[in-house]
Amino acid sequence: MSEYTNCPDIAQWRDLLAGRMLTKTQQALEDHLGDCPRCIQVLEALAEGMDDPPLKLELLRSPPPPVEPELERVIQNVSQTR
Amino acid sequence: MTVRSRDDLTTHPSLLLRIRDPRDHDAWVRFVTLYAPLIFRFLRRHRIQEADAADLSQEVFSAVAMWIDRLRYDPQRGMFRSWLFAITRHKLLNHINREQIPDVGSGDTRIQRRLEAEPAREPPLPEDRVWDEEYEMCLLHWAAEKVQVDFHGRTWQAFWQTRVEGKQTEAVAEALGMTPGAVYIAKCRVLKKLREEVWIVEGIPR
Repeated sequence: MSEYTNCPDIAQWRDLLAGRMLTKTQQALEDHLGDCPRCIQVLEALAEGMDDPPLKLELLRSPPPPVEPELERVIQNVSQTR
Repeated sequence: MTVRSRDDLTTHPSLLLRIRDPRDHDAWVRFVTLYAPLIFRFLRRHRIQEADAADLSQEVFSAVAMWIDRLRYDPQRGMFRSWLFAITRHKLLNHINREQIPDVGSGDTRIQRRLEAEPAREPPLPEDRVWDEEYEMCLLHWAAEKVQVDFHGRTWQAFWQTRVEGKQTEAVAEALGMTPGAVYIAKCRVLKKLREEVWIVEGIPR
């Protein structure tokens, strides 16, 4: 059961995402998320971004193709131009 | 409820700003490592031979280095990718045009043979959509590789299995021995970091 009777302030969710939180407090927030769909939405909105187009994470399902030798040469050559 | 997402992003100079400084070698290497595969494979997909694709890719980067100062900064995502696409496509079309105009009276049978072998080849159709998708894929893989090292195995797996593979939170929590709340937190932390990396590349003025 969550120790929060009311939902945590949004600043706490921000701190949580930024890793600025004591373990005990984080545990309480973690428990709260198990009971509170509204706070799950808040947390996801903070992580996803409201103003930006969503990242197309499904594109990560395909592994990147291996780097061909000729491409490797391009990367090395161009990297050395500065 | 007001959630201002960009306020939550860390402040870093974007890669696109950093490469304007010719002394910032690290930024240039990151930039090249990120975009060379996109450019090279775009050219290869248009049946440009490997060696030519390599030369043309280098020409694209030379053009970027020359013109990046004049690229007006715009917070709208997508501007840089379109600009890079325009440069790459321009180099491609120039190359194709050069190859398709044989020297008059030169008797160069090598060129003639090549033209005969590929009579139907025409300048490629606009491929903005394909380019955009490959651009995003390059960017995401690059960002994911960087972000993954910052997270423990279970945290990364919680993100990967829920957001990339689309599994249910509860199922992932059970499989990883975590609470559902911990899975949400892990997923959101990784996602935020990933988004930050993407923004660092594409950049917004801050």
